[in-house]
Amino acid sequence: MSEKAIDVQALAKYYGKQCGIENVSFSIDKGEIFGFIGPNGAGKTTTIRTLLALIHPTSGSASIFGKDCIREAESIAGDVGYLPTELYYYENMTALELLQYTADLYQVKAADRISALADKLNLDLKRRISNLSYGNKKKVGIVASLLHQPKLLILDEPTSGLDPLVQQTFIDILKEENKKGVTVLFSSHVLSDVQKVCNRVAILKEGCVIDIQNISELREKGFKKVELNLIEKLVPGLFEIEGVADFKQSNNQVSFIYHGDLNLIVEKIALLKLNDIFINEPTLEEIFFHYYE
Amino acid sequence: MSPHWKRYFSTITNKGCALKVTIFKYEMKQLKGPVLIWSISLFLVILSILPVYIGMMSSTDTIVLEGFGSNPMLEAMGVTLDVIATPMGTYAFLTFYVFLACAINGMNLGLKMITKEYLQNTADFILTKPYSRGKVFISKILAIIISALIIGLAYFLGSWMGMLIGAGGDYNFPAMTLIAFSIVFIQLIYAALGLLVGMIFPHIRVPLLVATAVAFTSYVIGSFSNKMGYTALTYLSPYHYFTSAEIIKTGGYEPRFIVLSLVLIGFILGISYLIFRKKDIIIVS
Repeated sequence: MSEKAIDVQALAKYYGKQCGIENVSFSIDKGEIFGFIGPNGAGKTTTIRTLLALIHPTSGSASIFGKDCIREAESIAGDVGYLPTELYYYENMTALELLQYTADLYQVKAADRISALADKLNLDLKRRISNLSYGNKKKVGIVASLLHQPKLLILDEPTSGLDPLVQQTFIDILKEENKKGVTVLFSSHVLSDVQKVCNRVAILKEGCVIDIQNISELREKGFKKVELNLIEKLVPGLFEIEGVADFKQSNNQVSFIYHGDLNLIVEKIALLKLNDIFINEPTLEEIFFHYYE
Repeated sequence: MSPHWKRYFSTITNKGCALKVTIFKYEMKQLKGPVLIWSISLFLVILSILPVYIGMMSSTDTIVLEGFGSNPMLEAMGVTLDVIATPMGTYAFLTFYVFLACAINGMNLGLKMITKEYLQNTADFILTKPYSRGKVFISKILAIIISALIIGLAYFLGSWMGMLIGAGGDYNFPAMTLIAFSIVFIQLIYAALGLLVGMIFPHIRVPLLVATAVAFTSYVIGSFSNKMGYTALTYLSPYHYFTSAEIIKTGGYEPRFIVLSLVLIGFILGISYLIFRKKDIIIVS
């Protein structure tokens, strides 16, 4: 019996001559929370849709719990909960009707589970899907993906549209599920979301997996976006050190992205007289542009 | 959660045969409104018109008949003046127009069965559940067949009652039954065609318009070929597979056209399924 929840080997999908994904390989152990990050258009959704047999790969192979994703899609589907990035449901149904239909399709009695999850997410089940906001539709999607107690959760941009409180509740639910042994594939273009829950992360760019890292390693890299408002003129060459990228200077404004030893950069900044300082997490796009070219 | 909801849940999520018919039941629920409207409409239309036309055609007023005699559509339909003057002939004449309506309904039904999943982007929802694409496809076809049968039954009942009112006992019941149920075949042939077109062009936003265009085109081709005597062309028009004059004359469907209809439906559905099985589901935002 395979201990891999997901195993993807040299997966490629071309739309005519246009490349969707190319040579994507990774595997996820059972019980792992695996992140999938990359900017929009990196191939995350294409990979996920291939795993779910919604699209057929041009070449390569993918398996879930040792079963071929295309040939054994029906058998796999019962063990998988999927939360798509764009949520579209039968608009004329209420949330409850949709969830009932979902439970019926999975052939499970899920009344208590639906009720518990809806309570946690503060979801009104009586409202019609067409009257729900994007955030509330997302909540319906979360309940629909979890109600049959799947062994694997495939989540595509799960936190988009959720307010911070609900995001936290959702993360807590995921951690609870993971404790029960559920494997999670968590795809996002928001690095901080992935960092909160994942053990390992695959980094995708332009249809290829360019790196797979433990999340702790990624944290150690400590990507920071530093913005300084100076009182005095900048000492030339002060920030010409390893780990500094995208350096910009305009009058007394300086900004750059840094990854490396934080003490070193703090020492450099301490040499300056400042009006203000901002140290934020750079966007994933900024990280990709400067470190994964 | 209220006890009412819990009761409802336990009813609908009972294990057993539920899984096999879940999608079919849902599709039938979706089709309930249109099928009801079509059934009631056809029932009432034929019930109200048939006795009037029978009375008109069987009257001694030759002007009316002569008027019909000069109608080129009769020739196109393959109906002669002596046939149309009988209750069965009148019924056959009226049913030919119902064929057109049923072709539009069938094509629209088939088309929408596929395009709705793409236009609502619900294909993701249904195809990530533990159902093979084959099972989804069969569930949808079953829903179409049942819908066509219900509409056919309503038309049959309306026809029967109309005939009883208009012709009393003076009509051929078996032939009338066969003619009435011809609309089931017409719907199914066009529904299969609709499914195929839907598979190839799943993002059609105006299925009714496409259905009307296809149904009219084949109607015109059939009428034209019949009038001009181009027998081969009539094969392109399923309306002519069920010529009422032939049914009245022989008391049955023409075997070659029944075989052709079934082969055609099977072939089109086969091609549709092959496309559906391999089709990539592309999201359109």
